[in-house]
Amino acid sequence: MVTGVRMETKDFERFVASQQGDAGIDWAEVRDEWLRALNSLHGKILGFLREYIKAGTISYGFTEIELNEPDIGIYLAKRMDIKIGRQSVSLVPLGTMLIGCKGRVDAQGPAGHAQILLVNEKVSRAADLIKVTVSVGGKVPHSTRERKPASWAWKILTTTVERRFVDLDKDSFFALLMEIANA
Amino acid sequence: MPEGFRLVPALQLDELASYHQDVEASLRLYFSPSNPTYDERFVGRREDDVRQELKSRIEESETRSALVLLTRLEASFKVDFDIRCKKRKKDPLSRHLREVKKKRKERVRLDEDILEGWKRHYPALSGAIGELRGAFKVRHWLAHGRYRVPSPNYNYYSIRRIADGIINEFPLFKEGAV
Repeated sequence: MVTGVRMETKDFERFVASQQGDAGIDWAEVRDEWLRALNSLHGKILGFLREYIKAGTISYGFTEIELNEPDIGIYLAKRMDIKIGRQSVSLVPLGTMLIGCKGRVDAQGPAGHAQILLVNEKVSRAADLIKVTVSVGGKVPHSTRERKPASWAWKILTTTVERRFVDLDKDSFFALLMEIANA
Repeated sequence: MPEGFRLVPALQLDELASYHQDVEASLRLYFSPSNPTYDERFVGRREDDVRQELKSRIEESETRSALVLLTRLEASFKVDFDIRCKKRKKDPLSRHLREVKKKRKERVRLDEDILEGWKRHYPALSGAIGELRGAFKVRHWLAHGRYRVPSPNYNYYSIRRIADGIINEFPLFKEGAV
């Protein structure tokens, strides 16, 4: 059927075009942007812990670990280890080529783990990431997925059914530490 | 108060195959960026992990569909057995199965009694019966919690092929047959 073949060719062209979208992306810059954001997370956490570090009750260290991500390849990123007396918690970077966020760090302790995500600063729960496209008069606007948020923020993803994003501040980080360190 | 299962007519094999295709297509869509809730559902995950999860869901779906196919086949043989006994059919297989029923009463077994009868009276179908017996081992494995290592010889598609062959080649009586 001629019409059917044309439709398939169009679909194929669309598919080929959709695969070209990443051609202009500077992956080294994507990696560096993520590593800068990771550094800023470490800086923020050191700020929260400053008085305890000064008093010698909490210590910390960094270890470079190897990450391997699609398009970016292999690179090194810093894992932060926080020692609170006998307890130890690690902040392990997972990468930046992830769904719905720009980066992820897993906080791992003896009693559990939690995710700290770099997300659009405006989202407060996972459901805010739902994409709805409305077609007006048969015209479909550009996908909102393509749009970059104005600014990114580190947030803790809760494990509750609602899966909320809690702003990362001193109180929420301390609560997270106590939870995963079995305090 | 739970409503319990609604009695719906058993799906025929082609309907079961369509159902399976619909479930697989739905899973593929749900696990793709075309799903409006994709970012919400998989936030923070690697695309590769999501692909693995999809693969695992499809495998589970195939396992479940295979179990339904096999129970449907089992039911087909039992319905056929009942009809041959109740309607007092005159062919040698029906006579044989009535003897079996007389002897074993309510303890008639699918494999040793019914399938063995088919094998004896339809020797040309013995190859298909052998395949079916192998597939029913998978059915027992599925129905009893999958606690042992499954046979690597069967999957949804091979069971589907066996089921199609049985339904097309075996002169099975169906519900409502005179």
